[in-house]
Amino acid sequence: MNAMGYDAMEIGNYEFNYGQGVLAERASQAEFPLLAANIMVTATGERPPFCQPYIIKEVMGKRIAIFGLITPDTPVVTHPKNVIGLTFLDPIETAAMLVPKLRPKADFIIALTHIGYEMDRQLAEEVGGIHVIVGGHSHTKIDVPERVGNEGGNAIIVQAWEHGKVLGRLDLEMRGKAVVRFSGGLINVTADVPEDPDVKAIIEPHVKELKEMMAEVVGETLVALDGTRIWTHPPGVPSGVRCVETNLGNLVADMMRWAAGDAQIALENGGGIRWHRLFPVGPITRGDVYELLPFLNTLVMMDLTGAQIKETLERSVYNYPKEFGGFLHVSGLKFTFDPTKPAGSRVVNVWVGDTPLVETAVYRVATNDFLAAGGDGYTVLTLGTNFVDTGIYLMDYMVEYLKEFSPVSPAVEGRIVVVSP
Amino acid sequence: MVSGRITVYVDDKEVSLYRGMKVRHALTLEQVRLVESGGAEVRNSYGHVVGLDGALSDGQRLTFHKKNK
Repeated sequence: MNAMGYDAMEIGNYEFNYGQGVLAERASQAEFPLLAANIMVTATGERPPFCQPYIIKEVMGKRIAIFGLITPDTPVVTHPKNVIGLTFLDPIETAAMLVPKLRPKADFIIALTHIGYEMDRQLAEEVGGIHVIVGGHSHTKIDVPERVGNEGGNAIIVQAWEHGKVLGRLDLEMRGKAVVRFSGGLINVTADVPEDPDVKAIIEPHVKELKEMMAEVVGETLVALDGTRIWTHPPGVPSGVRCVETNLGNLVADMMRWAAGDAQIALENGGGIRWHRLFPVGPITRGDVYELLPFLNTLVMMDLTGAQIKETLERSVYNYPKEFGGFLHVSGLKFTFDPTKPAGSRVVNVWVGDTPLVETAVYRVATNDFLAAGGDGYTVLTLGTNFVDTGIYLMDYMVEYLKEFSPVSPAVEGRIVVVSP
Repeated sequence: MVSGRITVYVDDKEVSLYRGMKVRHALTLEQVRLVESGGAEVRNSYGHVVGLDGALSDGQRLTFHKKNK
C-alpha cells in the first residue's frame, strides 16, 4: 500500500482481527494516515493512537478534507478482546458534528467510510457539506458514481465492490467549492492489466513464503485422528465423523472453546470436518489443517439457554444412526441420548462440565457462522443473544491451537453416549 | 441500545439474522454455491450487485438472480 501511494485509509472491522497492538504496528509502518472519526478510548474520550479523525491535503490549490467512519457493528464482528477499551460511536452523528467544523478549513470534503452502502446513503441525505463518499463494508458494486441526497444534503457515492476485483475512478469538475460535473466507473482488474514491477518485487517473496508456509509443520499428533465417514466402516455400525463422537471431532471442538476464551461449550458440525480418513500419527502441516477445515467458516459466540442447547442437541442426533452433516461434536458438555425415541425427544441427560444442564440458565456457546445462521437446520442457533463473530477462520485458530498444545492425543471420552431404554 | 438482531429480505422473504452477519448468511447454501460458481448474483434494492461477504443492514432488501448461460 505504501508503494501504491495511498493518501489515506479508513480502518475497517477486519483491521481489529489481530488486536489493537498489531493494528498500531501496521499504522506505524504505513506512510499514509489511518482514519476513523467515530472511535474513542472509552476511559478518556480521546481518539485511539492508531488512527486520526481526518486529514486535510492541498491538491491543485484546493484544500481537500478526508474524514473516516467505521461501522458501529465492529464490536460484534471481531473477537471482544480486540476492542477492549474502545467505544464505536454512531457514524451519522459523528459526521454531523465534524463536517461543520471542516467546512471553514476545506474547499472539498470526502467521507471515506466503512459503514456500508445503506448507511452511506443515509449519510449523504442527512449530513450536508459532504461532496463525495467513498464507501466499503457492504461489498457493493456501484458501476457508475451516483449523486444521492435531498435538502438535508447530497453527495456523490462510489464503492468499488470487493476483493480487488475492480478499481474505482471518479473524475470531478469543480467551480469554487461546487462539483459541476462528475463521471467515472469501475475498471476491471484482470490478467490483462500490466503488472507494476516495483509492486511485484515486493509481493513475490511473500508468495514464495506463503507456498512454503503450507508445508510448515504446525503440530503433531500422537494418535491417529478419526475423520472417517460411515462407508469406511462395516455396514450397519454407526460410525464416522458425521454420526458418532470421534477424537478428531473432540479436538476441533476443544480448539473452538479454547479460541473463544469465554465459552463454556463449543459445537462443531461433522460436515465441516473434511479429513475423510484416519489421519496418521505424526506431523500436521498447515496445509493439512486447511484441508481439515477448508470452509471459510469463522468462530462465533453467543449466549443460549439450557433449553436452546438441548434443542440443538436434539437436532444433532435426530438422524442417528444415519450420517448427518450437522451431527455436532461438542466440548465442555456431554450428553446421552436414546435413539429408540422419536426424533426431537431423544436427549436424555446433559451435563455442562460436571453439572447437569439447567434449562433456564444461560450459557456461552462457541460455534461457527454457518450453524449460527441456521445452517444444517439449526434454527435454534439463530435465536441466541450477545452474538459476536470473531472474523477469524476456524482453520487459522486450529493452527494456533496445534502450535500451542502439540503433541496432541485426543480421545473418545464419552461426550456423546447412546443409552438403551 | 442497538439490537443484536437484524431483519433482511431476500426476494421478499424475511430472514432474521444476528447483527454483523453477511449476505451469504441470508442465502441458502444452494444459493451461495451458485453465486460462488458464477451462476448467480445478488442485488440490493438499488440494483447494485453485492458480494457474498458484504455486510447487511437492518431492513435491507436483496434479490437473487440466476445468470443465463
